[in-house]
Amino acid sequence: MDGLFKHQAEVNTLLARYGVRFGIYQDKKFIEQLFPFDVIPRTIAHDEFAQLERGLIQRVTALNLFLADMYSDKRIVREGIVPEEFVFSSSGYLPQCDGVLPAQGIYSHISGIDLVQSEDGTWYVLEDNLRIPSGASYPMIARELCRRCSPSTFNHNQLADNRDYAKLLQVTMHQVNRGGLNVILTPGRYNAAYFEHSYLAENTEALLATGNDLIVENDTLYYKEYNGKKRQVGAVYRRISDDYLDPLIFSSDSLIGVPGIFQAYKKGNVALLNAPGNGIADDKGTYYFVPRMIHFYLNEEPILQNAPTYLPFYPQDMRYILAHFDDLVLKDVAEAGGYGVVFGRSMSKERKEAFIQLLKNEPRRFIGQEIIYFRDLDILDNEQRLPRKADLRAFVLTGKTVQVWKSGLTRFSRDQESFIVNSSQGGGFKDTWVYSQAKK
Amino acid sequence: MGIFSSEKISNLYWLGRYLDRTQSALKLFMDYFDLMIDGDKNTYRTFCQTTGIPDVYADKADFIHQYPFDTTNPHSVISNVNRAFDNAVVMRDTLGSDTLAYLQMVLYDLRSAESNEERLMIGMQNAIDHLLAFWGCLDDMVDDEATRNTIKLGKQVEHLELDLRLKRPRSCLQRDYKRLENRLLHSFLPYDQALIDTIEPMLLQDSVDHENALMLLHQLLVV
Repeated sequence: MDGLFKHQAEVNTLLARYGVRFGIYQDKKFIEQLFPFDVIPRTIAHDEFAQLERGLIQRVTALNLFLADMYSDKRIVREGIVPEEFVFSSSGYLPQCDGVLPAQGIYSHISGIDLVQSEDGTWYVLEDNLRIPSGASYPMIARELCRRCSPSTFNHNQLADNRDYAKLLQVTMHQVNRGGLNVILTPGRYNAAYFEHSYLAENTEALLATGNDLIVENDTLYYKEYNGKKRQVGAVYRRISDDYLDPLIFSSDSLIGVPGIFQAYKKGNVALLNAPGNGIADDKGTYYFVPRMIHFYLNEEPILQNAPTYLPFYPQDMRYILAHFDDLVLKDVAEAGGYGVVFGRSMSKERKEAFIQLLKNEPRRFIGQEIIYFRDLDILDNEQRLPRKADLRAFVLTGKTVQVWKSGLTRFSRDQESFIVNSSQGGGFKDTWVYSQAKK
Repeated sequence: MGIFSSEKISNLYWLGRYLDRTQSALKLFMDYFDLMIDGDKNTYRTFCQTTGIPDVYADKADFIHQYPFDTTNPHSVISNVNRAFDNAVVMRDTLGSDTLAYLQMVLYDLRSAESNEERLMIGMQNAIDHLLAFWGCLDDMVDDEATRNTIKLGKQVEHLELDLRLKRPRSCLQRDYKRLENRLLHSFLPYDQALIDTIEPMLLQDSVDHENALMLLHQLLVV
């Protein structure tokens, strides 16, 4: 592996050559920047990954069952496993999706599960991203470029090939396709993850489209060709959030969505990956209930653990949070990208008082979590190895089967003191190596 | 043939135009820069007049710094590269990352040229090399004929337009007209045959009416 380390600059030059960027908005201005890559990979042993894989499949299966239940019978609510007033107050719950059964009954086709490994080696799930999780393209292309820079490294390390993500995604789209083209729907060039949208379109042979390229007629979605012809679209991997997907159903001022697409989906004429309404399951509050969902739907013990989490919604949890405020991390359930995350211990007295008042006023809005002391991963900084906090986003694809991509996006904080690894907040990324064979 | 929306066709066509505009601008700039190394320091004014761009430059040094690199000036080289890139980056799925990378490198070449005046011409030469590599990659790696033809159609329209603006010799006009005509025949985009029938004899005359030909050329395609 050391051979690869000499090529840090070279790999980053190649990533720049291929325009591997992400965008952020600063002061309402769109700025695209290179996503810093560190060549020291996260490595996961074959057997350890096999265990993670089982846990991820179990978790995503339960979450899909939960979504199917919530938009149909609501058995989990009726049986008191998840409190009604808690779950229906989620901003991710979309009443418009009630009674709508997506193709193959799958809601979350592409799930991004964020995990951290604690210092004792235990993996904890921190978040379930079931709406439009991004990031798979970065380790995909990074692996290809690392192989180019240091072939011997990959000759000496027997790794699971991670360049099959596009194939997995393509197969997933084909499996739910209702007849017609596969399309990746992007908000456009000035989206933070535009590189990923275009790169995945290139590699899955799906058409990259904006809302302007699509039209709904007779509850059927079409791609409008330059010459006036229309081609039916059978599956849309949409990278547009629910709010903006269809101005006729959700935000009426959306300029990036497709009027009528929800009705076409509802009629079963087009598959949407992921299905609208998934926000109810990746709400940071709902996360608390995932172990219960696994028991309820699968009658199994959860293989992967949640970080110990408290819901101020429950009075006993509220009492615990107030008593252990400085030991906890508080998260706003509606935020993402590392925003809305505060550490109790880092707040000033005034801020803490104001926050506690907010917590009491809006208990549904927050969760409290024990701080997980991540196992640090080394990064290379001017040829020095320095430890940094890092997480792992694992990608789980659900079509006819549930498959875990044998890689993932490892994000790290570039700031020594920080636990926030998100790219939008200055974090970098690493490849994730999964060894293809058990150690003998 | 690939499947294209009208927006994508427009992207491909304008990509071709901006690529050619960039390449021409780089070549012309290098010629005039060379003349000014040890010649008349006001030669840049002729450059502005000839190419029809506003002369907003205080002096030679200002021109050398601003014309290639001023992102706020729509006539600058970098603005043309940026417009080409804007049209290309949304076509990654069609062009492929390998082809697109050459245009990305043109941007890096210009940034590198900006940082060191002594290396200005080398940086520009590198940019031209990468532009040519883009064209080679397009031919070699992009299978879809419609994609290639649409970009090249944009390139030929742009090229003939510049010939007319610069009042280049008749032989040059005829050569570039033939290239455009050939591209049009292979294109699937609708064009006005009557205009073609009018433009061609105009370019064969001893005294070419450049202004009129330019006006007709503008009407040839609506993309």
